[in-house]
Amino acid sequence: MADAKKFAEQAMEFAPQLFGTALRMTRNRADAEDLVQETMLKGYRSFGSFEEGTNLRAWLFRILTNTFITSYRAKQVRPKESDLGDLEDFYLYRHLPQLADRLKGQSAEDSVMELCTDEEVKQALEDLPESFLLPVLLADIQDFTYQEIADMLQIPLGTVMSRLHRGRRALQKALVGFAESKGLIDVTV
Amino acid sequence: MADCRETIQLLYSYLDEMLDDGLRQDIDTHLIGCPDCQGRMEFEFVVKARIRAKAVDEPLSADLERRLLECFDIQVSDESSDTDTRGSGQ
Repeated sequence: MADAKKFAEQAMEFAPQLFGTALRMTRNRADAEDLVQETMLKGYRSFGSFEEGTNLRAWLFRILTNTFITSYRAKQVRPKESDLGDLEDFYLYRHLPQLADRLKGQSAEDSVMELCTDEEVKQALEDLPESFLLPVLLADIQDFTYQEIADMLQIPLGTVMSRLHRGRRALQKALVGFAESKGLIDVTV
Repeated sequence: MADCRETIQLLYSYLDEMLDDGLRQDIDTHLIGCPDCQGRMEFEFVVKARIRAKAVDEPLSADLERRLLECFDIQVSDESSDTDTRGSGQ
């Protein structure tokens, strides 16, 4: 059995990541705090069943995700996938020629990400339909493997990949939308 | 060897390090000879990295940190009293 104090110390190291993910999931600070607290409590109560040497971080994220799905998801109002319209592949990349004209002398990648503030990236993530949100948060923000995400969400590997793929398209489209609303690009051109 | 179409199709799996060695080497070989695909790959790599950097974690408020630490404290004292009870019952 794992040692209680050691468990608490290690779990606390992951708290800022868990809280960041919880904020994107719940879009609400009070709910995110409750969700992380509930995750820690559940983790601590069952840490006896946690086997030393297995991935504590993945284990905590699994509890976080399951708790969100069972207790917090119903409160969420998120756009539906059908609200998003066409989702092209590589949305940002396709709008690059325009972006490059706007910001001369910088690499395309730097230009693109300087167009988006931290708050806009967070907003774009939070506005994803839920079926996309969890795979994108877990893969692109927290670097879990497709298999780990499939286990956490209890969905097939192929479903993880297709949701992740479409989620990334939706995210890029939202970021282009922010750039457009600031007058930085004109997507009608 | 992979062509441009296959490379673009597998771009995200490549970036996510989900390809087996054979496929990954195929794509690597293609990338060396194709600046266009290479540019695209680098672009998506940087975008992914920047998105991650902008949203990966959030600092805990002092209040939340205290609440989380309390989760453990409560449980520690509960557990030790459980052990005591079991101990005295034997």
